[in-house]
Amino acid sequence: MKRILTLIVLGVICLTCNRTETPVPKAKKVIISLSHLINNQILTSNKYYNLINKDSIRLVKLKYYIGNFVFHSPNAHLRPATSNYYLIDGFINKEINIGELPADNYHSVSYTIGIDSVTNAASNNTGDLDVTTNGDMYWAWTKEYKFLVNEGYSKNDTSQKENAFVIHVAGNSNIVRDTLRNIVFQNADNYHLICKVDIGKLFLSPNKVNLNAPIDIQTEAKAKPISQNIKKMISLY
Amino acid sequence: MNSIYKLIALGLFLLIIACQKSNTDPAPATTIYNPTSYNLTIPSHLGNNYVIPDSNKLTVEGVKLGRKLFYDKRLSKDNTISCGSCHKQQFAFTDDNQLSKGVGGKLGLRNSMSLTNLIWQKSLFWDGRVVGLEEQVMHPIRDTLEMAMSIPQLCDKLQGISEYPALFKGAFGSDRITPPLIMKAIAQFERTLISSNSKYDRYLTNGSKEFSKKELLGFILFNTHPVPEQNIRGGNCGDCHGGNLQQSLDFENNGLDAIFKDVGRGRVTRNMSDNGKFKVPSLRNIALTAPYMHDGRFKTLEEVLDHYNEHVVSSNTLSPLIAVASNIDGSAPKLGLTKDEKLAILAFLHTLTDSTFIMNPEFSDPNK
Repeated sequence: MKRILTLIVLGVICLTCNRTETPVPKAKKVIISLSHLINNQILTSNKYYNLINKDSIRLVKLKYYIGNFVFHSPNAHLRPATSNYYLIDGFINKEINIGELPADNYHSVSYTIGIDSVTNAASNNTGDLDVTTNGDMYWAWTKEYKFLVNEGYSKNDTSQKENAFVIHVAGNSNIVRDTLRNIVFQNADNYHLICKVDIGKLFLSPNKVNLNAPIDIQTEAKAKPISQNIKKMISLY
Repeated sequence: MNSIYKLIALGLFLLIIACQKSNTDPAPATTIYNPTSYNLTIPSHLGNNYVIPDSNKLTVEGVKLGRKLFYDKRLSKDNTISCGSCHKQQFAFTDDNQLSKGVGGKLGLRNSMSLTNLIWQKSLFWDGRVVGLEEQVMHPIRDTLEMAMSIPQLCDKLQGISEYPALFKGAFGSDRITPPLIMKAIAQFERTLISSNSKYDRYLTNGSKEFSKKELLGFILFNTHPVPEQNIRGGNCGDCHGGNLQQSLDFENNGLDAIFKDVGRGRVTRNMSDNGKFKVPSLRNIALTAPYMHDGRFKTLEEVLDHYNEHVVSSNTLSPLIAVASNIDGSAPKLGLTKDEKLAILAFLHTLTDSTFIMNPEFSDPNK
């Protein structure tokens, strides 16, 4: 009888202890959706779009590396990433699953467009950074990644002559780090952010690109104004 | 009486054994299904961005069968053409003819592509119409300009060749020859065709001492984009042929024509903006794979360099990478390389030749 009573008492103690433990916040999946637009129209390849200044462009390639996401709450600065960098093809509204975060009140997220200098100097990266199968995102001549590749044709507002443009942004000084503030998630089940990527801003803001002639931007120095434009291209829906 | 029963029993016993023998095919040793995993060595500098389907893991038996099929002319309608007829090992598995001859001497429409480092490819054929090696296998077999063989007939034909059922059983556990098994076997062999032992590969390991001065200059020019205002001279090759596969895996219009006799990628996507684009081929073993371009129009590498240097034709699908590039300000798409610079690039291109690849006995015709 005594043994039974002892077991009952122990059982009650155990249950009480369990109740007093602090609940572990449930982890939620982190998803980032990137919708690529020009003048609020969904971007597709080889279609002419008017920019705000009436110049027009058609893109044949738009790719860039995004990554190093850090979510900020009043309590923490956390990286959900299962991988550090993701190669985005601008003609696909890319949804990237970047791991999990514990439940918290996240108010902003920081991200990078480009590759950090250590990874940039390594030649044995894998996945999206594998230079063997992503050779179009690598400058073999300077042995570094292209952070953003933007190729196509343009027409100036006044002359309708078609000019080619090649804009390759690379070089450690051109890495872009920015923060999206006042983030709002799409639902309670996961941390899903929907972002719009305004490609028109690559040509206009804050540095206007002259589309009246062929454009060949393929050095770190020449790409600097474009890297400032890159900083303006992503915003929250 | 007893002895009569004994005799009848003995007779029945002998009859049963005889019947069993007559109903059972001879079982050669190779029909036992116990395949050995094939140890495919992947050179680290070619990276791990490749997929071998779980449904077709490489085995010694599968690769051996695939190699035999690859070189067997009986896969064609009139027993005259094998895969190896147009993908010759001595030419890095391409054809030295501008257009390959199929059954009945019919000419194909495009130059035969080199079969090298295929496991890294995201698409196959000049127009990228196929994404998997298994699927690719049947295209030339069925094509009336190539092997012109109906697939059901092919299965029946191979089933009737005494050596094949046992080889299929050894490779896949079934001696019933089916299209998927033929596709799997040839794809297995094709995945083994890895070329990674050129002078260029040795340069990657040992550094510039492997290259002559001219080859090194050629390598630098090959990779460099020209920036005339900064006096940076370049051949502008690396954007499309960079990386250790020497290809971007993209489709580009490299300025051959203003009007496209063959629309290339556009035929697959049905998108006019892809007209005139073709898969960027690897430049590995490029000195062995003449003639060049999708239609084999250039006989020599010198002609190819002259094209990029002086004869690029503008069109609305011309690659912007070519359209804006020049060593002389305002002269794009004329590249403006000097004669010596072209010779240096040519010297570098020859460093991409892998003689061990074209001499490897494991890739050769097993019937010879």
